Amino acid sequence: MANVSGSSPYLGEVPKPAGVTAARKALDSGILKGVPVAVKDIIVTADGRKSTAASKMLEPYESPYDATVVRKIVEAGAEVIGKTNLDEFAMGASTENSALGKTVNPWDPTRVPGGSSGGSAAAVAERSAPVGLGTDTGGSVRQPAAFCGVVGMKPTYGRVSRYGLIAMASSLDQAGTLTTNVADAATALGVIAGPDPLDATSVDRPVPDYRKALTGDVKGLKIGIPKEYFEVEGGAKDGGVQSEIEEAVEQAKEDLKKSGAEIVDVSLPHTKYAVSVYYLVMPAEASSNLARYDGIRYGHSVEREGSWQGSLEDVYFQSRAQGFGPEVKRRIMLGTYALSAGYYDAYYKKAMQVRTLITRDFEKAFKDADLLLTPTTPTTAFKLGEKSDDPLAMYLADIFTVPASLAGLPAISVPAGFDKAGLPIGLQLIGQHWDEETVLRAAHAYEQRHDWHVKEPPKPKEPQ
Amino acid sequence: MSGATQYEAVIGLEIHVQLRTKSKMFCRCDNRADGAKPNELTCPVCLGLPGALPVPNRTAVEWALKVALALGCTIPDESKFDRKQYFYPDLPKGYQISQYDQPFGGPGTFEFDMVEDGKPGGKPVTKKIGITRLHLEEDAGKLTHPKGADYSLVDLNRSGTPLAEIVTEPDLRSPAEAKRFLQELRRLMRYLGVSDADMEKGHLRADANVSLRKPGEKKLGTKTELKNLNSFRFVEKGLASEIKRQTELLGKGEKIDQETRGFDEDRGKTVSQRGKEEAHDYRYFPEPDIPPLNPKELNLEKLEAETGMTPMSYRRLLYKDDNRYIASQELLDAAINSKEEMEAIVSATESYIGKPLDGLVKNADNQIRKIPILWLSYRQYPEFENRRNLERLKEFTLSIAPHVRVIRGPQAKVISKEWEKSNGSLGKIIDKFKSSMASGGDIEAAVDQAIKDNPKPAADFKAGNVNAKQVIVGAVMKATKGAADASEVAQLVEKKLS
Repeated sequence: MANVSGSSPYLGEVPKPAGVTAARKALDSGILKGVPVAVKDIIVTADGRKSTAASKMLEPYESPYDATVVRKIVEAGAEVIGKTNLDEFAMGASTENSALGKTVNPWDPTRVPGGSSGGSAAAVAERSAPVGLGTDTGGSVRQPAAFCGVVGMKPTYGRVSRYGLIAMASSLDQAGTLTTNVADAATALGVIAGPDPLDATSVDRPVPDYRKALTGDVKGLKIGIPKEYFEVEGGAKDGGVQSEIEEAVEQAKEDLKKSGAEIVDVSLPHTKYAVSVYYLVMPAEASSNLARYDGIRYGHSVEREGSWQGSLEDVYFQSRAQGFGPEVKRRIMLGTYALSAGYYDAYYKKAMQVRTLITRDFEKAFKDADLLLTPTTPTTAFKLGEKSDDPLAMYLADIFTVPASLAGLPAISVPAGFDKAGLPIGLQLIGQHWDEETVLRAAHAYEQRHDWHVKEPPKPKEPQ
Repeated sequence: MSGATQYEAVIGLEIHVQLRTKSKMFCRCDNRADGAKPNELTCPVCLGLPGALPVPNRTAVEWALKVALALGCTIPDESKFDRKQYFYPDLPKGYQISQYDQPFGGPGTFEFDMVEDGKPGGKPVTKKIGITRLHLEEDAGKLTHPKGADYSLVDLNRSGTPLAEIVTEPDLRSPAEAKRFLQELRRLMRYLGVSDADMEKGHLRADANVSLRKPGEKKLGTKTELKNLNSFRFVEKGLASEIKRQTELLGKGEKIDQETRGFDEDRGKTVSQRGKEEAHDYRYFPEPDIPPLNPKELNLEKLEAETGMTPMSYRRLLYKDDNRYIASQELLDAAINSKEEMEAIVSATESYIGKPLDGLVKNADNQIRKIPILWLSYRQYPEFENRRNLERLKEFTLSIAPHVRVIRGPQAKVISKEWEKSNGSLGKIIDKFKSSMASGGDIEAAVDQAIKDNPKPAADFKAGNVNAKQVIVGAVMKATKGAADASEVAQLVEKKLS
């Protein structure tokens, strides 16, 4: 299902159209048996496919082991049908930072699919796979889900094993699902969730039957609207949230009220610091996590290229200079700086303190509300290349998704209609720690009032 | 001009101890790398492969706490791991998981004994050494540089081996003291069963901080760090040569540069390895892959109980009344080196005095010390050299103990030999020996003969030279082939000559 433009949601081999009907039947009965799954290529697989993180650094790399989430879906009978494109090492919000492939938005091939899990979101949107696995560090499942008109679920930090997720920011990374509807998200999450002895940050809590949570009943549910999310600046070109997205939120409030939920105002006063905090904590951890790509044991290495001569330091410098793309280098530099002697207290430590305040904001808000409703993104999918040269503008695409990541909360993005250009809009529901059930229940009830989730993007023309 | 007495040496140690847990620190790989092929004992975690995560080894954490408790460290309510970041080919992740500001062991004091002047039978002096901290970390791999090759080889079998790092206060004052401390530490590790602590094999590695100052001064001088002192001999020689170097520099009015130095054995001196300005910025930050943990939730009482008697507590059992050791330090160390043997000594003592030894050790009286004293003397007999003969040594000691007035060292040696040869009942051998002992009349006759044969010593004794009687006693013992009680003989000689 390659696009005419030479783009594809997948890296490497593009899968043949799968048996969609059988998969649909399995999913409708709440199982993954025989279901094709598109796996973001930052999740390692030992199936003979490469595990590249869309980086030149790992272009030739094959993992000797499966990530725990992969092992779990395979044990549940699912089939990994392909590895999907992403921003290199999950660093980006458009999938344009991939060093190994190009992926466009299935709704408009001149626009980005979002990122960093853009490949999995696009694969699910174009219906080449009913389920996609992604990773979400600051919004990397929810934001592309919103851009591509699908459901993106990021569970509580610690709910799903990170073993085999090529680490970007360890205290934020969490595997998530991309599906066409909320019920499938519940099914897929049920399979991948649960403690893992190989991940010390996974938490030993029973995994509920998420599908049972989808009762359609939200009567009495208190849904909080954090006012700060509607006061942000710089979200879109005109300095705010795109009007159609604000309208979608208003519409959703009405819908949920009609279903019996109560809408309450809440305040998350430290929201304005979230992106700054995120862009200190994340690069700091990333700079450390990416130190292992040193050209010594695996991956891109100038030393193994034969003609090379030089010192050990040259192996490091040149292998990394050649293997990493500009955004990765930018974050390594930011993070290294933030952790350096003399700067640690002012940057990393301070950021961690503010992170605690952001978490407390949510704890307070959840005294008045069971769930929070916000936009997923300030705008719908932007044009390819539109923000490529402006990293700050790209960072602000995460503005609504980052706070829940910093607090480790479960959050979902659900389709909420289309803007005037016909591009999908996504709404975000944020739940309390470990309460994926309420998130899924409300998202499902909202989804069932419309048919947006069954709308498919136009089919691309087959290549000649 | 001698500079040696002008300055006081101030030494602090940083010691790495490899813990001999079954599996590695953060993965399930086999931790016993001896004899394995290079890179055989590795997995995605200790190879630092993409996506792999560390999971702390509970036993390693418990053992680190055990060591911390035995070193007198305070145990904090919260402890965490941190990343120490630097690039090196033996460090697969580009960082070492270590502990920065919340180690498992906080400040403590460790006591050990040494004989100040080193002479046999000397008075033991108890040294108190401040322990700054104890933390747990992972070891790096091993690099080898084949001769003449333009490459190096990396073996990651050791990557991820648990290491306890122990940092002392600058409380040591001489190379001998530093060596003695390390030997006592090795003994402790073996007692706790947490490490083989073999310096030559790299199980126990020491770096030292050395500075000099005028005696009585409080302020510390500029220190140098002496790296990789990988044998007890190196510790002593390396420190001595560095102290000599610093003494000479200060004597010439020159300054000490703060730097890292290594001991070059061939040249017999320390050489500069790295200046202060080249110091690393390790960019420590909390390890996000491992949640902080509360050591007090790990049942410290149980860990402390498992620790049992330390070498130092056994040593206290082996003081004489005047706080001297009951045997030479060397002999004592040899026995104390084996926890099994010390346990056998305690068990023999308990069965001799008919009650448990708990709480008695600090104020052990002569009755309690009788068995240890005899044991330490008998253990040198060739028949007991094989330490697996602890049961026989115990039986022997307990069987001879009631008869020591009659069965002195030389006789005991004969009995031991006969027991070994005949493999018969020890009781019967002792009975036979006692009945064959020279009777009172025989001894008196022998004494008379000896006085007659040795007129000069007899005259000397009468003239007031007390020691002169030993010649006569010796002659009697020889004549009776040792079958007499030497103290009885001595009394008899005194009586006859008075």
